Amino acid sequence: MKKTTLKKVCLELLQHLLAAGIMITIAGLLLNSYISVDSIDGPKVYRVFPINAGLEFEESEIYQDLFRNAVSDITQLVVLKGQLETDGILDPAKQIDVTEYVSGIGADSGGSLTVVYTLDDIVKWGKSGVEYTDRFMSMSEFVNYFGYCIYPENFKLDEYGQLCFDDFYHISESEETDPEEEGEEPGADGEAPEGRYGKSAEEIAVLAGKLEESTQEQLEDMVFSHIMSRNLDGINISREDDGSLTVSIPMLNCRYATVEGKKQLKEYAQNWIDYIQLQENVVAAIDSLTVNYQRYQICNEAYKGSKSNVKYMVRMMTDEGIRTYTNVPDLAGLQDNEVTEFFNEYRRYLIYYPDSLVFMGNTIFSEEEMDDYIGVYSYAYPDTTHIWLGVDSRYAIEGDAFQTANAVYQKIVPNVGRFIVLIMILAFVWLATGIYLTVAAGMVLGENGEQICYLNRFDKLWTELLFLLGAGLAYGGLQGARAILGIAQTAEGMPARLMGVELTKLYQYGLFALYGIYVSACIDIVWLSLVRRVKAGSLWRGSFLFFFCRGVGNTVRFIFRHKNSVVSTLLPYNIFLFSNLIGIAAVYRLWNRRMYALLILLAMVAVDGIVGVLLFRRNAELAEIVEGIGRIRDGEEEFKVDADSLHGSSRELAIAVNNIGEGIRHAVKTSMEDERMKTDLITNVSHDIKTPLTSIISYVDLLKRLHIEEEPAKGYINILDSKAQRLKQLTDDLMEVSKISSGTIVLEKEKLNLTELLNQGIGEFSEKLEECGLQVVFEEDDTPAYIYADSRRMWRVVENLFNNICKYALEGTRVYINMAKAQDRIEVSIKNISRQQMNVRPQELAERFIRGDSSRTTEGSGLGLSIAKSLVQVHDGSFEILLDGDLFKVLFSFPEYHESPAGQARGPA
Amino acid sequence: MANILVCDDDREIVDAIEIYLSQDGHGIYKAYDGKQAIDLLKKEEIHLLIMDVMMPKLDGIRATLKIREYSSIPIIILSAKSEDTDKILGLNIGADDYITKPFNPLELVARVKSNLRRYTSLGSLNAESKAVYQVGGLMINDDTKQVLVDGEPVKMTPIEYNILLLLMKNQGRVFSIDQIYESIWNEDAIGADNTVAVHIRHIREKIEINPREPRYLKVVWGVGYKIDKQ
Repeated sequence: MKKTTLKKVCLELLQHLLAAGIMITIAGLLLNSYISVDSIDGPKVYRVFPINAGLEFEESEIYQDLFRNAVSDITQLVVLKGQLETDGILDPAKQIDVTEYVSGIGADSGGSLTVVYTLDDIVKWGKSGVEYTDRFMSMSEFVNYFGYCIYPENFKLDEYGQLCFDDFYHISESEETDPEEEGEEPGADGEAPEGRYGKSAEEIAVLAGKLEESTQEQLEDMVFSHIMSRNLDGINISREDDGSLTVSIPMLNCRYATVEGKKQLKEYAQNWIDYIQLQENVVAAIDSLTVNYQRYQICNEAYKGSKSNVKYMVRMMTDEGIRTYTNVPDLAGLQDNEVTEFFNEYRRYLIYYPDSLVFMGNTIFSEEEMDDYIGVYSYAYPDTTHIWLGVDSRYAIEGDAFQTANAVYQKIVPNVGRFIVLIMILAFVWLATGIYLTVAAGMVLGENGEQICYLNRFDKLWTELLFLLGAGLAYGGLQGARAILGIAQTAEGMPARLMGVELTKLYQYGLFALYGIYVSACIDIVWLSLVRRVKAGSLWRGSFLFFFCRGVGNTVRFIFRHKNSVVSTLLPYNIFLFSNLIGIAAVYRLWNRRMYALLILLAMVAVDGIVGVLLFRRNAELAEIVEGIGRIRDGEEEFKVDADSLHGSSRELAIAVNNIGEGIRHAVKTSMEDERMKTDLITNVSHDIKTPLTSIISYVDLLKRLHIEEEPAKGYINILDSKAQRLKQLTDDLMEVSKISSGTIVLEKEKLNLTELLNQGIGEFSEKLEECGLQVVFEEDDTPAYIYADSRRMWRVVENLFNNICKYALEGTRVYINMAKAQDRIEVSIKNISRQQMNVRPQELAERFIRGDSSRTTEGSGLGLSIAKSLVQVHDGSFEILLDGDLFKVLFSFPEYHESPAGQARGPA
Repeated sequence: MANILVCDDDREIVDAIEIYLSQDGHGIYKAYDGKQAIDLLKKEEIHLLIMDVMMPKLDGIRATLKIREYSSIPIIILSAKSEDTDKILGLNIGADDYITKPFNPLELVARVKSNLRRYTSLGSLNAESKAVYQVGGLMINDDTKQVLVDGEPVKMTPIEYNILLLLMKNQGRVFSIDQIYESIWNEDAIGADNTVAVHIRHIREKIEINPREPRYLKVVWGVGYKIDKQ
């Protein structure tokens, strides 16, 4: 059994190790299936497994994504090149017309003014940041900031004939602006230019008249309303304490001068509308160009011909002639079809002529997608654009995204298959072990080689607990799986973290292994226990539900079995309780009608009193019966419970107890009779033996008197004589033994002096001892040693011991008798030297029919020591025989008798 | 000499007893149950009756009771029952002696002799002076320093005589070894040990038929010695 258990434990361990192995392999698969690639937008992480396993790199999503990025980057790059380069190289001195640029990228705020900065200045400006200064001014200052503008020409009448501001047509002492230019807009609006600024002299006269009617303030207000109606950003109005209005406006800090050398933008504008629009355009250009410049730097670097496996060429017809952008300088001068031929050689390429609807290539890239990319920069791509794009599948240039990804991909993909096979093998072995364990679970080889179901302590817990544990473990497993997956997902890029602790690679593997062991162990614990329970059939029997159901069942059965008790006790009790409750309720309700309440109360008291008396009587009777049982138990078999005075079930009980008592009485009587019969039998047999023995002894004696001298006859007669005597002795001893052992011996105890007894004994045996040449040495401390015993039986003990000494002591030796008191006991030892070698054990000597010489030839029954020992023992004494070589020693002791104080008891005076 | 009736259902025992007693010159009558014995008693002049207890028709105890209604002859009960209770019963219903089977023939003869002597001669032995003490067949005359057992003188040493006298004078009283020693030797009993016991044993051998079952000088084991009143 132990061996089997060991085997199982080993297998389970193996299984857990396998699980750990599986998880480590999975970890290896998951943690190593990441490809990290540097792209323009920073590092990008791709995952190989399980999406792309088995595909060629060029068909994988990673490749496609990289390709898509490349297309996107290059379309952008070409645009940037157009913006920032002059003849293929970055030109810091390139002059940028702000408004033109901004409207080109579709971010302009309108307005016709423009300024020109060099590229260098704009980028520097953008890098150091755009700053504004808030200018605060009163309404009139604001309105007249660029010059006085309250002229009739600038006003008009609306459809209701109300005066309102029209536009800034006439501004005093402002910059010399071309009125023609100013006038273009209203002209474009479709108004017929009549007189100054499209207004006739009469109209102006009317307006002037109206102007006269209005206050300065009202007019300024109109101007302000006009400015505000253009929804310009940044202008705020706040009301001062004195009720005047203050206008705040952010004005750009012009860090750099324009190409023309002017530093302030307001020098270009004649009114707020123009100024703010220009300012916004400048800022937009700065923002855009700064970003584009940085983007250009990165992009251009990344997609340099010597740094990237991506090859491109874009050729477009512009107003300034054919422009070509490429990272393969050799191609710049070639014709379109030669270029196409060149790109056709790449394994992955894309050729797109939007104007002639040519779209070629062997990528998954579609024309729509391409249009989408180009559409973003449609302002930069005229229809005549030709795009060639290809990837060198030899990945000759190291360090770019494609090459890195390909290298890692080639490293991972072939191994994925191996990992999966390994996982499957391990999983198979794990499963096989699990199946074996399932089959072997709970079975133990018994002593005879048979299978025995064996449940351990855990299996004896309630099944529900097992399920609960299983659920808990499963929850833990889920949480663990989540943590593990989290680790797997964040394996690359940022370092994995678990509960705030950074994990190294080794720890990650360790966690996977741990998780594997955990899952395996959990399955083992729960599943195997379940299997064992099913095998032992204790799945249901060992469940709490079963326990509960059985408990309920037992209760119901108990109640059914004791239907009588239910009827006799439970029901009356409930009725009693209920009636009392009703009574109380009735009394409460009828409190007003005293008479009824009193009557009910009296009835209740009476009924309760009767019930109480009945209960008391029942308990009292029960106590009586219990007392009777106690008395019978304590040996008073004659006792009888007085059944006639009892009632109901108590009487039945009493009768039953009496019957049991009767049975005990009968059994005791029978047993005593048996004992007496046994003794009687032995006594009778002894008598029956004695009668013929009398004849034998008599006639042997008569024979001896004949003085027969013939030798054989004389010898025979002597033998007959001695054997007859021995037979006589034997019958006497036999009776004694039977009486002692059957317990029918009646002791007549009295106080006697052991010293006296021993002295009497020595006196009685003095002649016999002298004949044997034995000298007795009696050592005593000369104080009376009183014991409480039957004197004749005590004499029998002493007589037997002395007879024994006479028979077996060596002639000419001394017999030592020693008597001493010790701890309320009187101890006597008798020592003599044996005549013959003792070849029996001392314990056997006190057994019946054992004698020291073991040949049984000499006189005596062999019962002497046995009788002595038994007699001592029935007097609460101890008796022991010790042999030490030829030294024969008898030790016996009795409890000392205390009645009169010692020393005073020298016998009656 | 005397006519003795032997009654036992075992014929061989009766025959053996006949042999022993007839050697002493007694006339023997034989009976084999209580009824025969009573009949014979009525017919013949019997001086002593030896009777078994367990007999057919009429047992020894009942026969003794019946005989005691009209006769005072010595009755010796001879029984296999050796219990004390049996002996006491036998003696109480009027038997003069009780001998247990198997018996020593010589003892039987001696007891018969003793009982006959008492029956025939003791009745005439009246106490002549105050110095005469008598228990059953044992008499001690302090004037003549004579001890008689069943009328026969017994020789004793002075110490034995003094001990016997002490016990005869105080019949029924138990004397311990030390008390006897102190009153006889007139010195302290220290180291008295078993001297007294040895003397008592000698006295018993002289005055008792069976010293192991003494009629007169009784041993109270562990207490002392006494001579009971009769």
